[in-house]
Amino acid sequence: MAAANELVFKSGQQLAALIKAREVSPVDVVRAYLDRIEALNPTVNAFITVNGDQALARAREAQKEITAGKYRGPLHGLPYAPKDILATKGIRTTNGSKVTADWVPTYESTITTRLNTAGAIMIGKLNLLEFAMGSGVVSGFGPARNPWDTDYNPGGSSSGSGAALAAYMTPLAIGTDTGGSIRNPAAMCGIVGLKQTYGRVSRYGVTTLSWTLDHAGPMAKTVADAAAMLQVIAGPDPKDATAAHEPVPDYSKALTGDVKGLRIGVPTNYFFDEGNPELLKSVRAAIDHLKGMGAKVVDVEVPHANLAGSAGWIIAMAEGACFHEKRLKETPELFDPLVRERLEAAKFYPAVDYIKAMRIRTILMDEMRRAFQRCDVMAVPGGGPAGKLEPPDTARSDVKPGSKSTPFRGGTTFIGDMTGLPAIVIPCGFTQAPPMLPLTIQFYAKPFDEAMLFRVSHAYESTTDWHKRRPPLDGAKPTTARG
Amino acid sequence: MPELVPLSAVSRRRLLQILAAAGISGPAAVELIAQARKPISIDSLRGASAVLGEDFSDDRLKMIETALQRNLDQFQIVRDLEIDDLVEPAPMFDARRR
Repeated sequence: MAAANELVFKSGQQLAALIKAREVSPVDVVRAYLDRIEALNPTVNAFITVNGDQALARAREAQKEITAGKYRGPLHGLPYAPKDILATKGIRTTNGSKVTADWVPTYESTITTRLNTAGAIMIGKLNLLEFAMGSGVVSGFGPARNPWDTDYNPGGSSSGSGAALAAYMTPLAIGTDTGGSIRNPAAMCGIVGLKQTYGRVSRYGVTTLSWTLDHAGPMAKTVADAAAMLQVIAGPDPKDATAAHEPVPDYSKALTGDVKGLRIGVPTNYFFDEGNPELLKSVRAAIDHLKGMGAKVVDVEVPHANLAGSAGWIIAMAEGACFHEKRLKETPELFDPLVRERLEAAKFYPAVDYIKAMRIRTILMDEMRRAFQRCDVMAVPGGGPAGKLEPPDTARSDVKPGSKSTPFRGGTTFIGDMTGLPAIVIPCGFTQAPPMLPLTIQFYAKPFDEAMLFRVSHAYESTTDWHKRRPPLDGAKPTTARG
Repeated sequence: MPELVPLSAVSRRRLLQILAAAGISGPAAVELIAQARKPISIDSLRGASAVLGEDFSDDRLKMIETALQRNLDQFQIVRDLEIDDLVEPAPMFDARRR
């Protein structure tokens, strides 16, 4: 394999500085990433569609504008790639499914509209678990693979987003999160994943899984890149009634590196009860690290956190079954068997269970609100290490041979979607034994306080080097070096 | 000698209390309780399908039976939770509730 262009190993904001100073042209940057995609996509399968010609044409336009002094801002000339569940006008949008494999939307999602307006350049569309809920294995486009070891699962449902970022195939990506689908692949791939407050970002043009739980947000290699993306995509939208009118602050001001006096809540129940021992140890070490930087650690409790998964699952699947009703009747055979199983079973969920799950959501919101009276952010395990990709024969169903029907826990992520609270996942370690796989910490914050998430996670990131490690995709062993 | 009562005749909430008193909780309790619930049958699903206006094949009903049985086991903690009458449903996040 030819040596990778060192441009791809720079963060988005490093590239932005070079582009703004006209030391690098957007054309060079886009070409470097397209070359990287061409070299690695057969292995990683992160991209479903690559629109190289269009991207290069837009890069040339960006170059002209910047040369003429019309610099649009920190995303101008930077490549990005959305999960292929965001509608892109005139560009195929598959939802990772054979059901919609040939769909070419006649409209554009608000997120991609805003990124394009900011001068970002879409280089392609990213693989995912079918309709954000499939197996990721028995799907129309094959599984994305984890760049840290391609036998391993990159997480989901924004599997391609996590994998493409970890493999340096794009500097910026968009994912969606209904039960953890931004944060889970961020954890498995060791990148930054932000699920902002419900309503902070418009969902217009994002194919629905669950109207009341869906979020779409930034995924990136660094916290600063995620903040720059949120800056552009946040804000009210007349096309989405749930898009909030809360003012959007200048997130760059949160990147101070200072956490002195900041109160970090650490739950005494549920969140640390289960999990890989290496993960729990890394998360505790990260909390200690922040304490050493001047933050205060306080105990908090979310008594019914264990219900978030089961209640969230009822809501997500019931709404998903409603959304896909027509397609399920007309072309059931085209669905991933796992998606079909989940949605057909959900048709039998009683309405009373659905409403009760909504009442549990009220309880969880109240409990989180009380927890945040004691802290500014809450620190919990983000996730990892990744597991191996599941064989197709067992990936077809949730009912595994010999499996027991324990309550669905929903990990540490579903409560974020149930309560609408913002959360960010960032790397905080790696497993010791090979394969070396990422471990991550997650921070929650109060509603619309994404700036607080950026502040604490940027402070941690700036004083550690987990995010600088590279997966062994270029034939070399994993390294901490960075170009 | 006390009369033996079949598990399925004991209310779920009562059964939970009995198991907790006996020191059985977590997955073990969930499994025991799952065994106590009347199983779903394909016939019952066929009847429910008619209510839904669906016409699933027997193969699909068999798949749904297995999946739904598992789902209901998982959701039981939701059904078991007693909620105060004052708690209303929250259809989605509402910033005004802050």
